[in-house]
Amino acid sequence: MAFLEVRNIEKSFGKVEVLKDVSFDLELGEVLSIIGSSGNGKTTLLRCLNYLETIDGGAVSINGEIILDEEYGDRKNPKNKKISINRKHYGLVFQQFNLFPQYTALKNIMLPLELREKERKKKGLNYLDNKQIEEESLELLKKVGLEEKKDNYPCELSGGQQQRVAIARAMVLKPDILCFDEPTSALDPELTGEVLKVIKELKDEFKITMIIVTHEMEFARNISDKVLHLSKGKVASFGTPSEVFDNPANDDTKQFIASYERMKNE
Amino acid sequence: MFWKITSELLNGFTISIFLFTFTLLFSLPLGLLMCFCTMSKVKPLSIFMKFIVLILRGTPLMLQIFVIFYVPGLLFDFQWPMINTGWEWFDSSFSSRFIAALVAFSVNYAAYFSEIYRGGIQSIPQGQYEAAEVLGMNKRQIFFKVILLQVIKRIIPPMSNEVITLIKDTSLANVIAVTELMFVANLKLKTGLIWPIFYAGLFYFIFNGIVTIILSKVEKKLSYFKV
Repeated sequence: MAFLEVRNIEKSFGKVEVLKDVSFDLELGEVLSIIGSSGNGKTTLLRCLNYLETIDGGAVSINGEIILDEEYGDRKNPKNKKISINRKHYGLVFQQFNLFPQYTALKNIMLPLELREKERKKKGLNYLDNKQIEEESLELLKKVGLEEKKDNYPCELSGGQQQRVAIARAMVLKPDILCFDEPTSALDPELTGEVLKVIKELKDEFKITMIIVTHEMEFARNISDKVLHLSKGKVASFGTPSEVFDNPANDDTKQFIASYERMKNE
Repeated sequence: MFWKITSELLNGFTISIFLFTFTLLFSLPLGLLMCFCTMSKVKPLSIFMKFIVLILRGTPLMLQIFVIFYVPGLLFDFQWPMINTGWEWFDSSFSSRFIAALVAFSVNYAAYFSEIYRGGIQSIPQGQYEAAEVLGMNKRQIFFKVILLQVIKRIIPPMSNEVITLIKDTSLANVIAVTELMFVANLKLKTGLIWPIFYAGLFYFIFNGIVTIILSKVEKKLSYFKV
């Protein structure tokens, strides 16, 4: 039994089938990159995992416990209530950062923790006080190298800095799996490096399990333990970086890698 | 003569300001409630509220004041309550007119505000909701902790417009003999004195200036972040 098991995910928008029979496994501490051209379902897959879309079929389990199947998201189904609990397995970093503009960098990270600890206090569980919340958040801000920007508002930060704050924020509730939805696609080319470096550090120093949807092929090859190529909503290839990049068995993957190599050489 | 008329106009002006202040006090929250109804997923509620807003925005405020003051009495034998405040300028027979005008203004402005709120809420990018959602916030927390302040920042310019219009619209209350500023000035006009009506205009102008300054202060206060 793998840590994360994704089985036979199906998703359609109206008559358009976006995901067809998508399955893969991921072990604790592994990094998975999902690659493929735009419009092949990468982002939809990540959004399904994060309960931002409902699925039409299939299931996801963590440590053998089902945390998503097609009954989740059905408003009348009691399983729907469990979404808020199951969501805690994931953290999500968005393409557009989506920081809260009215809060400082530090407050952006603190807010989710503050709200959670308030709930815990209400329920009579042990909870962190404000000082501990601030310390923990500041610690995360240090990890992404932005301690000195703690009192700056998002509009005062560069895109790369905003995304680094967003990464820290996604980690504040200590998710099992950190998901990235094209984390550098909205950035100027000269700013992608700092974000990729932070992601690399999180892997090397903290062994965080990650799922990364990305167009950065070099990065995917270097950081990943597993690579998944999605083509027309299906898993075209799934394996180690060298299996997928160097000796792809699948024709679609071959073509995709070849077109990428051509682009790189031009 | 000048001072006597000034003091009479000031009495009228106090009524105007009362009407203005209480209208804002009631219509701002009422508008939010109407906005939630309009945006509700319960279709009949949403359609009903859209219809109400359509009527309130689609007919003259003056007509609405007439209807609210006279129609309940004609149809249901309902009289707007008379309140004894003990104030000389606010006698109990007058209070029923004032309350009817206040109700008309509040409901009418709430309709306009509800549309401004709706525009503000819908202009917040979906990503803000999603980011809050994946961070474990519930609907209430998302609205109050993440969305609300961004909405307030966005709607202040169109709100300022409405607020300034409201100050001048209070003069419509004179159609049911609420003795507000224009009503008093108009009485003078009927006795052959023309200048008090321009003098009254100056009152509105100065008050509007003050309100404009306050609103731009609020706008500045929220300029520390961008949405």
